[in-house]
Amino acid sequence: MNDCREKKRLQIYLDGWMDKSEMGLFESHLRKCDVCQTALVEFEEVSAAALEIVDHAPEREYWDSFFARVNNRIISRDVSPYEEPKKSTFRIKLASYSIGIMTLGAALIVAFNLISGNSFGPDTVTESSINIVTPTVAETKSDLPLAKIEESITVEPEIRVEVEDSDNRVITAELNSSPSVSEPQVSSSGDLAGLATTETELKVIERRDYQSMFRGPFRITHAELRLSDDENFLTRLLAEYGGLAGDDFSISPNVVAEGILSSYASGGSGQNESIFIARSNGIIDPVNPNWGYLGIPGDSVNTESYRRYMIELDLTRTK
Amino acid sequence: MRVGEKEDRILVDKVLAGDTRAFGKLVEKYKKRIYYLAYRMTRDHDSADELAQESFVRAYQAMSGFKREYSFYTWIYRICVNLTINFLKRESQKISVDSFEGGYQLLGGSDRSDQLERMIASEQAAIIKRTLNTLPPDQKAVFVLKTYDDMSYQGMAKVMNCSIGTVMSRLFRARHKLRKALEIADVQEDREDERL
Repeated sequence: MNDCREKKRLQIYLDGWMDKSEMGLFESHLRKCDVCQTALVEFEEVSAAALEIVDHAPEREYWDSFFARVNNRIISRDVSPYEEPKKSTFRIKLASYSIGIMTLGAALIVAFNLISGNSFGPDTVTESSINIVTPTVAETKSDLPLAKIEESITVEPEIRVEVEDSDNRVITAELNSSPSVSEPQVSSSGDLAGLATTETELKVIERRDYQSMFRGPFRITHAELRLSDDENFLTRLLAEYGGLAGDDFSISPNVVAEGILSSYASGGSGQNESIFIARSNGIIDPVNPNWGYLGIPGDSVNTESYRRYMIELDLTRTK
Repeated sequence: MRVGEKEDRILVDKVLAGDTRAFGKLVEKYKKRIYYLAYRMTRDHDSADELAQESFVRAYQAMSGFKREYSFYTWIYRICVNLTINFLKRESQKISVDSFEGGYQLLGGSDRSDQLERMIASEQAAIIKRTLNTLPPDQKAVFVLKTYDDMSYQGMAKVMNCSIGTVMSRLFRARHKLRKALEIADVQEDREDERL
């Protein structure tokens, strides 16, 4: 069956998310490509058909009495929006999570001791702890020009776990006294390809699933981070994401940032990672059509924007 | 910050200061959107009613924890989407695919090609409606948010509490499945025609 690797970009085009600079090129491709033309029509058909579905329209009385019914529920349950009762509930719930949080705390201490070079064993990863290691970065083998390192900045990894309880309240466990980690600032020449070839001591950040560390009726909404020596992380991530992962698999924004950092150290094979970030100006569109998308908002052709983006993600905090 | 968002935050502050009428204003402003969000995901009035009311009660209950970086609109959507997804996961066996109420009507006075187009559109709508009910809740949610609320990828990412990449992937998968359903229906129709 005929296919076109540009087909996945149709959605970005259809939803009006494509940059003007890209749109011209894409439209000229569209004019020539029957596969994309057909797919575009079909996608439009789907949206049009969905809008044709007749919704049930409640009577006016339903709407008129809506707030009264909501209010009745609030009164009957003695619900309050104020801080006081929430605090007490929070404390009770927090107490019930204490085992999990203490476990995490212990794990963080182990992790920080490792990164700060204390006398723990090297590079040990166990199932029950968060392990932060300083990896050896692979030698760069790219044909791309090396990025010029203009200065080093210091970033402070912020380790934080947020959980959300059954009432959509977010509980945060945070450790502020994290040690500093040096990270290079690469030149912002506009050629992000250079980022993939930086030849410095970089830390690779890997995702860690904290789910098993907690018990209780809540889910993890935000959890990171750890340093790892797994330089192929992004490649695996993309492959898993688009190809093998189930529908429940999701990439948090932090993992996107992890991917970026990972790509710094991966040597830049030219087949993925930063190259596509640079070319697609905000949207990673891997060359392999079986892979999924990773979105990076904003002007990601600029190194500074990149860094700001990562900072916005709470992944790092500059000093 | 948009004007509407600013107004909402003022209302939230008033609610926290004990003004129940301010909460009433927020409910009035968003009740239809929240109801239809839940309805389009469940296709069941009673469930949508329950979920919409419950979304506002939860919002009221958690009002003091309302994060300033969110708009109230995003926040209430998020609560509703979470509740509805959980509901769909729990109740997936119970929600029946209701019949297509809209159907198609041959309108008097319109010419034959118009009527034919209308019939095709109605049939396609019925297929999409049926297939939507078979989508995983997460995919259904992004499709509904995009198609009926025209929400941006960023907005959906906030509501769904996931990355933009995940939103795009879910949306793509949802559209792909819906498109396949239309394709299959077309093929079946062609075969029927050939048989006749």
